[in-house]
Amino acid sequence: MLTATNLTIHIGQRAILTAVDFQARAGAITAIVGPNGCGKTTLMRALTGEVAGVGDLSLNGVSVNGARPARLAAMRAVLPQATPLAFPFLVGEVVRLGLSSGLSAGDPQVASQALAAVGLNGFANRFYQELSGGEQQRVQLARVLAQVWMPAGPDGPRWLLLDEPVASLDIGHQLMVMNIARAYADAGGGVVAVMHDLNLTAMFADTVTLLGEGGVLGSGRPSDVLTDALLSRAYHCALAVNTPPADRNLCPRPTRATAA
Amino acid sequence: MGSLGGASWQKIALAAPLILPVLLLSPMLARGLNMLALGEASALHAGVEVEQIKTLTILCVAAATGAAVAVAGGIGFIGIVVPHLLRLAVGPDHRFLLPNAALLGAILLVGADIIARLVVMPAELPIGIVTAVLGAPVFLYILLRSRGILDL
Repeated sequence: MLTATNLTIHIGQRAILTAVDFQARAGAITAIVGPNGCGKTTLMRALTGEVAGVGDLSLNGVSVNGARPARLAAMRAVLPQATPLAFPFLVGEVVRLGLSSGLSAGDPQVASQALAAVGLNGFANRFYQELSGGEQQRVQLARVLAQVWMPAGPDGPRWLLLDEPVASLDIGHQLMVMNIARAYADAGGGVVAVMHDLNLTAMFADTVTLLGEGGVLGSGRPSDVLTDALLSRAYHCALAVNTPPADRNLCPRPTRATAA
Repeated sequence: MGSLGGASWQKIALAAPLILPVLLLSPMLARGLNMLALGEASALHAGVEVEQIKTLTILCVAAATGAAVAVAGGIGFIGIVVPHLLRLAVGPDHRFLLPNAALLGAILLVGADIIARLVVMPAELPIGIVTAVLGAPVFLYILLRSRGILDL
């Protein structure tokens, strides 16, 4: 269980989030959605312990702000929006960096399995800098997966915290990444993802937290949160759900949740 | 520009207590430095005590460099060329990079010293001139050839 109670975060003088309650349970995908600048990434940074806020924050019953980095690293892995990488690392080395920080560090097979999971089989000996942006982002996902390879352990569930995991990916790979998150949650792990794509969110998330106006506008099942009224209020424009687009729009969308 | 002309066992005895502990300690920094290549936030998420590693690294570098410069004077380009050469040769993993950089740096310095003593015999050229003349083109070559891979 990942819980934040009465969380308030200031950056400089400005309160980004005020009195936020947030919950994510293991075995489910929890999506954080909201407009630009509403504090999605700030909330994610607080959940990872990167930004200190006022309020209670606990992961599997461990207080996030007081814990040593290594203790947290054994329980959760974090995928940032973008990861700069200095120096000519090979793809396999990047993934092994993640592997070495987690509890599966003794199993050398995990690195290649993680690469295969993100569709980069055979990329281990390529230079990271030579890959495209989308491929680099999937290498980072493989690194993060390798850190918490077993979704659940004797000490409790493990967590994937993903900040816009599909931002630079094409639609096929977006589905692939979301299916990885789905499988991780189904195996007992917890997934928290900051999302921009509301359609993907509706397809994959079990719980949605909608941020806006400095706090939580709604939280619950996608069908309860992603409503015309709440979305229009959050994004400051008229939005309608479950309405087919006007005939000149082409709107490709996946036909089933398991498409890959 | 630095010189090894005044080298003596006494100077080594003065510098060694600062340099040797750093050489022995450096493998302990390797994992933290590898993770820091992903950025400070990612290193923290992966369990690295970021501030601790940074402080320890800065202290190590200051102690070892300070001792070396106190004994031999300022000799440029060895420090900037050797790690980049090694990253191309054996990869950027600091577990191997740190000890290898110490070894290759020492080898290049001895080689430069031999050249410095030979070219204007019986006088001795300042060794920093030799390392700059040889090191600058090598560094430029590395920079231009593999800028993309090195992320410079």
